Amino acid sequence: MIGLTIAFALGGFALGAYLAYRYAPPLVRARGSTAVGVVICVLVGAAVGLAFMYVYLAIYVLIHAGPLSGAISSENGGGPTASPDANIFASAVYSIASQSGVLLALAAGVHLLGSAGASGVTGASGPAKASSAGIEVD
Amino acid sequence: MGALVVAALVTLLGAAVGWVAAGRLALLPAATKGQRLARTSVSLLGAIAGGEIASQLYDLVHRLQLNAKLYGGFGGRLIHEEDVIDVIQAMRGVLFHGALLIGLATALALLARREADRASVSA
Repeated sequence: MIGLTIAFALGGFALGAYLAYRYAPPLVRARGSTAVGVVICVLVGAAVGLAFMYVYLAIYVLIHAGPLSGAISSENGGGPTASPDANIFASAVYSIASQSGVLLALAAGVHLLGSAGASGVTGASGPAKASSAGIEVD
Repeated sequence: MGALVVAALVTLLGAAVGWVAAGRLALLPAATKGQRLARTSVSLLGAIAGGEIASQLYDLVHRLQLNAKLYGGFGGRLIHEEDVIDVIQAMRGVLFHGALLIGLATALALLARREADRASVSA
């Protein structure tokens, strides 16, 4: 169970990072854009890893209802009259939306800042070149 | 007491690594007071992120060791539940809070670099 939880989180992290690397809009080539690309991959990977972990955990708790369900569903979602299953589902959705959503929004913001900063300023001295595939730069 | 000292040392080590890495990767000039402030802020955010990640990972290891001592005699069921809660909290700390701080530091560095480049172009 512990190993699977960690494996789901790290597997989701790797999958998210690869998806961002492969399919995100290209960054312009500029000073430090490789570091920006790495940070975007980390942010998307963390968002997907958290989502995977919460989904796995919700499925596990729904199947094996036990003391863990109280610890997990006590965070949020559902009142005292709600059923435990609804509590668990609401808690998982809330956690994914609030945490993964924030990270994805931040990744989008960093991507926009990285692209706009490089193209807006270095464009004065010469046209910035976009890489051909995904977030890959240089 | 020993665990507390080790936790503090691990956190400080992570913070130092984060400070240096953020300062080197941000590529920010330090010509004016505002640029120095931005550079310090980025380094500080990097240090907080490094300290958070290091402390969460150490905390996870320590909690797993404690669980093995405290709940080791209950047939394994309880220790699994406690371990899972601790792993989830550590993963949340590393993946959410750590990544959030790193993203904020990067966004701040990009904004500061943009302003510095704009100032140097207009000068």
